[in-house]
Amino acid sequence: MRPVLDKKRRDWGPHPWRAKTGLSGLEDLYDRHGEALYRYLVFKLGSTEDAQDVLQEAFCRFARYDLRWRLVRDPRAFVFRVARNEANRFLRRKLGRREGEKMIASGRAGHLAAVFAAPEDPALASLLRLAGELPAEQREALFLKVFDGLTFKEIGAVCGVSVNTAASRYRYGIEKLRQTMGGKP
Amino acid sequence: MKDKERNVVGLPISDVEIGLGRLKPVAAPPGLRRRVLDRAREARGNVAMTPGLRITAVAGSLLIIILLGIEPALERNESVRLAAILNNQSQAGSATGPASELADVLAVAEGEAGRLARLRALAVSAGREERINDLIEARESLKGWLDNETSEDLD
Repeated sequence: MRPVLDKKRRDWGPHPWRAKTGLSGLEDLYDRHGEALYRYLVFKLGSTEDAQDVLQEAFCRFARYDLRWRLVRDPRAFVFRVARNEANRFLRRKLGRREGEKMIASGRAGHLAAVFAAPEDPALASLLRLAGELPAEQREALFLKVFDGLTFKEIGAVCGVSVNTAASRYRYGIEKLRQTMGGKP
Repeated sequence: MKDKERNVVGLPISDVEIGLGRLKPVAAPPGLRRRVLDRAREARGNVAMTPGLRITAVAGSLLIIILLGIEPALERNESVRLAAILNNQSQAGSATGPASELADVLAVAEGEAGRLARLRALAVSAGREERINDLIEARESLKGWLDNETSEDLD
């Protein structure tokens, strides 16, 4: 992700590397985003083992991005974007460039069911199944919005699309889910 | 009516997002945090250059690029200057000395007007010669700078 220059820093909390103490910044970063990134990577890769590996790679990247952190305006969008790129890189490496690209493009790697414990409530189980059948980009927007609480702007930055596109993807996903479930939009 | 407000899976229509929010995500495996941070620490330790060193390297690279960009321009300027100097010198070399020209003017038997015109031309030529001498001096001062001559300093 190309970091956006910090012209007007908003209050995003202490900067991960501001204290220049190295690891305390990383710990802080993990405490803020580690779990959410892990969930997102499980969603992207469909495997907890792969997600762990990729999470480690992503944090290695964060550790090396010493100077780049100073230019990042929205750390949350940035870490998700880095994790997304790392997941795509992993897929290319694992499946070979061609297959990996196919997998990324088709969005077959987006596994909602892998992220959530099977709900006991049948209504929720159906909802989860139906959500898993949404088109890949809508599923991703929905995941980032509902489960990680990202704003549309952040979702746009993570997925490399405009705010409007991110919002549309989410809206269409929700509408489709409502329609599939038999309700009116 | 009440049934219409609920969808086929039994959730109220407006509760789709809320329903999604009620899903419980799998927990990260124990020890993941430590593993991730250890690996990151290791990666951080393996970084070839410290931030300060990186800044210095970037600044140095920029300086080299600037110098490389400036050099051809300076070189072009210098060759134009040298060409001008050498050109003037060759012109000066082909010209005859002012004294002999003066003698010629005085010796030649021609009309007053013709003699005056030749004297004027001679004066202009002498003025040009001064300029040529200046250029030759400038070239002399450059001597050794371009030809890699040995230093004249006595060590």
